[in-house]
Amino acid sequence: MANPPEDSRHNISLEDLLRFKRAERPDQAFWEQFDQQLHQRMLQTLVRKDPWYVQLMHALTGKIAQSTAVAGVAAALAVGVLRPAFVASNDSSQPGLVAQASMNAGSEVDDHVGPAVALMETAPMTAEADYSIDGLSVMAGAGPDAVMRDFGLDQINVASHDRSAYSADIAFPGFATAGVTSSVY
Amino acid sequence: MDWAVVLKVQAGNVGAFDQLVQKYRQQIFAVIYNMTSNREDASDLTQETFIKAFQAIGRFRGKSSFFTWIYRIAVNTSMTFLKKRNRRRFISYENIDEEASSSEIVERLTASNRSEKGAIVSELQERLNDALQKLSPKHRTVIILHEIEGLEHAEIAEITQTSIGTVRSRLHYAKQQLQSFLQDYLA
Repeated sequence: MANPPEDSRHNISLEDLLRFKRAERPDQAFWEQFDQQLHQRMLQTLVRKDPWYVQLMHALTGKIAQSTAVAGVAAALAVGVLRPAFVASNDSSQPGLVAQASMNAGSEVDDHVGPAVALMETAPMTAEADYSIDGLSVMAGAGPDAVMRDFGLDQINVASHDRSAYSADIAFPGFATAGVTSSVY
Repeated sequence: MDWAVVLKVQAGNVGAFDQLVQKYRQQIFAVIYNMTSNREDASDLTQETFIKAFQAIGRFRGKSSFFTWIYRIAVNTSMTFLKKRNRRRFISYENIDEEASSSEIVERLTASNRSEKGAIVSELQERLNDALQKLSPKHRTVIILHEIEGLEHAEIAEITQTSIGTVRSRLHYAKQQLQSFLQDYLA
């Protein structure tokens, strides 16, 4: 070990010595390798699979969302289709009159609504026919706008189902949250 | 300026993160290197720091500056590493910049020592690193951030999440320790 010079002792402060530490710097080749390794590690992070518990959580969340969507559509159908029919059947002592009244109402709006309603009137007694009865019974005595609103509701139910099904498939937000919170201070 | 880049990254421009890496990599590396005295570990932990920042940048709200935030990640990453490393020490020094070999302090040491300049520089580097490693990680952190990196007390307090008083106290104690370790060089 080389001994520090006697006469330099009064000229050097601790701050001077520590400033010397700033001179310990890597060269350009080091930084080139550093950048290369960092980019590689960042890419690996992007494609790294989540731990099993995170995957399980995503799977369960997806199943729950799917089940909720199906239940929602079923409930909407029950409320929108079956209940008005049930109420209508209770209001009338003779079920046949409901259909008759609906057919009458349909003929009243036929001029305004056009081919769509006319088509439903001639359709066989299937699911579509059920919709047509529902629509016509609701807007008995109302204008053609009521028919359009009723169809609009059906479209919203279908769109709602699609949206929840797609949202359950989004993968990136899951990645962004995985295992980061605990490691950042 | 950093905030604008952060917003770009948060908006999905992942490539913009490279600007932040280029801007801060040397400072972050210096902090971690001086904490560990090992250039390979420092390289690895500096990369880890930027990866953590990249993963968490979506939640960065700008309450503190990006500079403070990334320094905090670097310091905490180093602390965690040092706890795991325990007493095992692997020294691997960084190259000394050529300018430092002709610095005033080296000239002064060389003038009356008659030793080779290279030997004096190597000796000084070893003694300084050894002295720093004798400090506790908390005291080492404040002395590195203040005396080597030149940060203000308030900035260090924010990075280490302590009070300014604690920073000053640690700094005072660390300096006393270092002066005793390096008394051969000092008055």
